[in-house]
Amino acid sequence: MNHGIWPALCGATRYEFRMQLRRKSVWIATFVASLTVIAGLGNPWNFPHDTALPVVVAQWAVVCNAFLPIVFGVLLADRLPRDRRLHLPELLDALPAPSGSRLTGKYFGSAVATATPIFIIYFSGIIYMLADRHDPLAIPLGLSAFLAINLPGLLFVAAFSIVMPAILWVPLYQFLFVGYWFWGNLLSPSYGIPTISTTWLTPRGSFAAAGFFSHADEIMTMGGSTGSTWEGAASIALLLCSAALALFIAQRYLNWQRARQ
Amino acid sequence: MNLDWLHYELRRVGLVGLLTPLVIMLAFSGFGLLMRANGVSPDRSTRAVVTGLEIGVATAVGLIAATLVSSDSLLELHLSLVKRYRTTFARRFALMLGWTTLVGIGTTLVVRVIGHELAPVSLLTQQLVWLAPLAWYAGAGALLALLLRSRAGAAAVLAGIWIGETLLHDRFETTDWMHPFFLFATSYSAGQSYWLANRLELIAVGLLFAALALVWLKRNPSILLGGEE
Repeated sequence: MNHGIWPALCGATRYEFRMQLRRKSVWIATFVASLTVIAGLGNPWNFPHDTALPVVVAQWAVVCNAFLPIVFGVLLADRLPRDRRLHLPELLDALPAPSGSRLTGKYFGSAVATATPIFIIYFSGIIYMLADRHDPLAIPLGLSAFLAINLPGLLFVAAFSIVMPAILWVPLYQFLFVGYWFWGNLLSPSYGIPTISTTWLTPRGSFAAAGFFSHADEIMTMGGSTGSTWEGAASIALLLCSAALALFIAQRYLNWQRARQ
Repeated sequence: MNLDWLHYELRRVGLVGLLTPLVIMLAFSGFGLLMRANGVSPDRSTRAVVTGLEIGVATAVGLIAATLVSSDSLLELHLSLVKRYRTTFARRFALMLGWTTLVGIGTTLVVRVIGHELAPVSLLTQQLVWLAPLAWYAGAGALLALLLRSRAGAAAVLAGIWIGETLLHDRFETTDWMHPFFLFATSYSAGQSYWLANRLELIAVGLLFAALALVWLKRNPSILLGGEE
């Protein structure tokens, strides 16, 4: 029933968003983890005033994206198991709303809600830059940096954090996810362990930051590359396609699982 | 002595829960071997094993503890029984810690047998490499799950602490007042003068966290009902 796709998607998105936004732990955990961001380097107040504004904005976006998606992914990991525990699929399957719309709505709603405290922390840094440099360009630059650097990585993480607990025990997934984050984003190849932190498939957003916001070598990727615009675009496209593929496969798997019951 | 509960509680902890510390150690040992194969020095590749014990196993146990304390599907029924939920949780907690202790001791012995050391101290004191962060994380996992009334929230805070301490390790190493909170002191600054005190302080705080969680469960077991979904 194609006519039921959009209302179901919008309804699921709205409810998942409100449900996740009201969870105190989403706010507490994200703000506790933000202490790491504030205590680290690459914050807006760590740069001299002669550093170009796009570089400071992009570095701040990368710093936020290096730490906060960990909490983001861990918090999203219990969404699907929660439905199973409460036997919601059995109830919702009796309704005409397609299961694909429900999964997509869950994905968008809970991802946007969990990203809200991250955006607030990130945007506080942008407001600081605005006050410090008196340059109104900080606001549009900040918003575009969030869309190009943070959002693709967050959507990538959200897709896997929502669907993987369909096949993995939640604490195990959470552990593997944090381990993956170190390995796939923060591990330098000089450690002698093969890593994907130097490839386009790194949700930290360093390719987009280097490609779109850096003119020379102010921002570099983990592999020491200065990046290019098309590499930044390719990285974003790869992350979004991987997220869509994960959701698609998960939907097929969940349908197959239901058909077997 | 009736040991039926042992069989049942082992099933509750689950094969995945029991295998997790073992698999983590095998994975980190594999990383160590891979580093050796890529020409990395033996000292540095042994650190992969230290990291597995001190960071990997301890954090995983913290996440499992947060799940164990708050994930009994028959919780409402259990709270109406004579047997206290606190006792049941304490048994599961002890089983998980006991098994992880075996993995920790086994790893320390294997590393010694192949001619390496986890830390420049005696074999007995080397057990503090994994015991201190394990006690801290397990206690913190249980207490946070009760405080936040959310497993995912507790796991997210533990993950934040994990990444924060790892990435800001140089600050923990160089700032005196942060030494007692440095969970991964062996991975980053083994052999420092504050190492032993750091280990004992972490164990004391971990025991305090676990005791607080048990006291809380005794005084108000219904705290687990109606938690965040």
